[in-house]
Amino acid sequence: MSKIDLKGILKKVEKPARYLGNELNSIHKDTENNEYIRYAHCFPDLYEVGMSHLGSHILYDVINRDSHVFCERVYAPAVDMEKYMRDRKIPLFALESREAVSDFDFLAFSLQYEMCYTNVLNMIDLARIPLYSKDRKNEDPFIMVGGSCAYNVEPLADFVDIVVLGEGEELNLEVIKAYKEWKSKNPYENGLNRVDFLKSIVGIEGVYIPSFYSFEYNEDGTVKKLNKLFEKAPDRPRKRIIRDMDSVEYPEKMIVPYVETIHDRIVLELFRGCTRGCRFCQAGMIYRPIREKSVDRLKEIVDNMIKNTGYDEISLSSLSTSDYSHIQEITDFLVTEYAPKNIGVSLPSLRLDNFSMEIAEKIQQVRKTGLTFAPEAGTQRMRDVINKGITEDDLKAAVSKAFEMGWDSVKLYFMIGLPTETYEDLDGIRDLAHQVIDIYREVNGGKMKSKFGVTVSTSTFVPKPFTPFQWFGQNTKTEVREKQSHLVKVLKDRNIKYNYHDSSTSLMEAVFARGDRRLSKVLYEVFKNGAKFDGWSEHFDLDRWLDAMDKAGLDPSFYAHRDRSYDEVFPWDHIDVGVSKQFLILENERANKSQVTEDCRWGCKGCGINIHDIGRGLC
Amino acid sequence: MSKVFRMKFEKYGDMIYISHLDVQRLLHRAFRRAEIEASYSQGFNPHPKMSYGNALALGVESFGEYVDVEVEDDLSSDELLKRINTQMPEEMQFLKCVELEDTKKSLAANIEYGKYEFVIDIDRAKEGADKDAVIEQKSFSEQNVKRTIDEIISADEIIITKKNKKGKIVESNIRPMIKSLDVIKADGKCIKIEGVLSTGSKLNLNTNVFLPILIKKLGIDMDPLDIDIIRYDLYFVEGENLVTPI
Repeated sequence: MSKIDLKGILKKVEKPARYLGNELNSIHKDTENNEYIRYAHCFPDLYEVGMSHLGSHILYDVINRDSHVFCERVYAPAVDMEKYMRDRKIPLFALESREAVSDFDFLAFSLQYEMCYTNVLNMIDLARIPLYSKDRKNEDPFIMVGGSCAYNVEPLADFVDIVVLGEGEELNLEVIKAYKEWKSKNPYENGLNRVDFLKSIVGIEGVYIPSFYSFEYNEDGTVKKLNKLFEKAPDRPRKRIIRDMDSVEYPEKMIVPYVETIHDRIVLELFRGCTRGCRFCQAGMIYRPIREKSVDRLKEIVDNMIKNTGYDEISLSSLSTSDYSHIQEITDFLVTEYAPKNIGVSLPSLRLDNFSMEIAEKIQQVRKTGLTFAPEAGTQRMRDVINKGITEDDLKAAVSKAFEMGWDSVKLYFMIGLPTETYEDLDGIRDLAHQVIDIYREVNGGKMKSKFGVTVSTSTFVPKPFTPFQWFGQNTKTEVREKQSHLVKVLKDRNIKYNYHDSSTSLMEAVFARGDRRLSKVLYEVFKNGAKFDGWSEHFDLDRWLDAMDKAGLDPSFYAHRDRSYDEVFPWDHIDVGVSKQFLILENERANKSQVTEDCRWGCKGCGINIHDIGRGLC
Repeated sequence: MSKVFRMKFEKYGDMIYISHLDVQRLLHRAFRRAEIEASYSQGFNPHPKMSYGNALALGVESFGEYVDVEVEDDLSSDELLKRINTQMPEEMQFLKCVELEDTKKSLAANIEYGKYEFVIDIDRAKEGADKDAVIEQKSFSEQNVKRTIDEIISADEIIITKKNKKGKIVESNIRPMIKSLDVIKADGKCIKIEGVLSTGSKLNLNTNVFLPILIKKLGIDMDPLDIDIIRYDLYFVEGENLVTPI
């Protein structure tokens, strides 16, 4: 394979360092003198976004440890770069080798959010690979997808060969190993075809081959039934997890980018899974059971990472970081050990109910980062419905302590468009914001410093599959706009800044999150009409999507706004994440009665993961 | 006790595509990995005390970049050089390191000139030009290039126009900022011009202002970004002479 020459282009595009591929800790293997299985890990967004994704770093590290495989990175070229590539007939290339990925064995896409699907198609197209899996020939790479959207991959199913469900550290290597064995038998010279490889891997737990299943639909558009087309394929493909968090590898030699990315710091994963059971949260359901890394292992990891990268900030990352059972110990250690070296520690959004101000104070010893809290809803009733079990007193206590310690600003995150929400609940947001202002005034002896500010940020709720709210019809755009206008009015205050986003992307996100295979026509159509970077407001064009849906004879409201009944068959029901549908129904019923379900650390709530083969014995 | 070192480094090959801010971050991290303790500033957002000579524009190769670094460790300049280079990319190595006794002559305030080489290749020019641009071999001839350089040097004024901060169009004369220009090569295929131009906080002639004028006078209708730029070194002025910082 020849290397692509970028010299005539790089000075003419924004942030050319995105395309260099020679960053510190990037891995380079000698492709001229060795035969490797060529694996492209593709993140369907800009370099800066992809480089901030921890899962990609983990897989890059794990897969490259296999000396027979060369795992390289591919990101979506920015619009200016893509134009040069298409004008000069340069195909999509991998960063490290600068070789075209059309000759690779695997293109593996990490799907973190629905609006990246058009970038997936665009990248496959740029790579000169047929978009539809049925059109691919034996010499074409296998298109594989994973990540959180893989749990309902149906809108993309027609373009995908292999889906890997769950955590990939072992699973992806098993698929690669099977491929090695397959290739060693010279299959294509012996009358076999690429579909035979797909058939050979259905037995690997975590593998889902969409083309081995087909859907029948009812008159009303709902799913009638799922048909299995290949006998040996599992009835319910099941996700994989890593059972032992201490023995699994972690990228201690994480790639250090040249350009500024979202997280220019060490990311330390404390645990996976979550026991809070917030009803809107898909991650909390699909990443069960909770599995922690030990403090000793974390200390080892962070020490190595600092030596290998030179970063001066450590970020603790998990679904609910302050729930880590040894949070005091680890933060004490990190601050004591690294503060004298001018290395800061930061926590993302903090839960309020067990937030320890001592932790925050320690962290702030080095560098003052902003304080963010996510009450998510304005009234206690609404918070109970979504099972975010924090009280007003929790918020007041935490905020007053924060101001006493010298913070002058606070960010509050909320969602609007939640199930059972009324305008009273929106006014609750105003009340909370005002209470925060009052507390600040009190703590500061009646004075308001000019740098004081409360930022209120609301996002539009999108119901997701595998959550108790998966039966809920999303608020319409009109409803959302009216709610936002209301909040603009009631939050008008010199001390409050209110941020909200246009809900157009939320609408399409809702369509695709609970979408079925018929949406592939829509994706193809919008892609053909130039859709890309739809997660970015400057590129997203709602009309393009609505026109495509119309052309395909599909109604966005059917997917987004419709309330479903419990007996409906969903396009994702056949995927087994370990949490039972009965549990989700039960939780939804409790939500409607504003009943809180306690953190399952204090007593099993019967979600199913503990008695299931996936998570047996881990809870 | 902390020491201040004046260090010289190069930046070429793929490293030309990282910006000045990227370089700052890269050096901070390299010092950490080399386990060299940089001195930190006080205040709200402490950062390592490193000051640069001149921000190098993206896309320019350089063999003379300078940075003053304050370090807490008791290291000799040779040791520092060796240690830091183990953590620097291959195409961005440190070339010299000297302990500064007198910190009063700061890099930023005293650098006045840079020596540049501009390389224009006819094939590159054609590849990157507009579809209807006409690029002729005779523009690359020795005769044309020498004539152009002489024209520039013998002129009293070369006027450029630009918009100032208030949006008003102002004229300025860039001729005083061109100290020298020489033809190194012009063979019908490739042009190499060496120039000493004002560079620094007092007077600065940006290469992206100079080059469009140069190619216009040469009669080459190309994208100036297809010109390779190398900066060989930066200079203080001492009396009549140009002197490198270390």
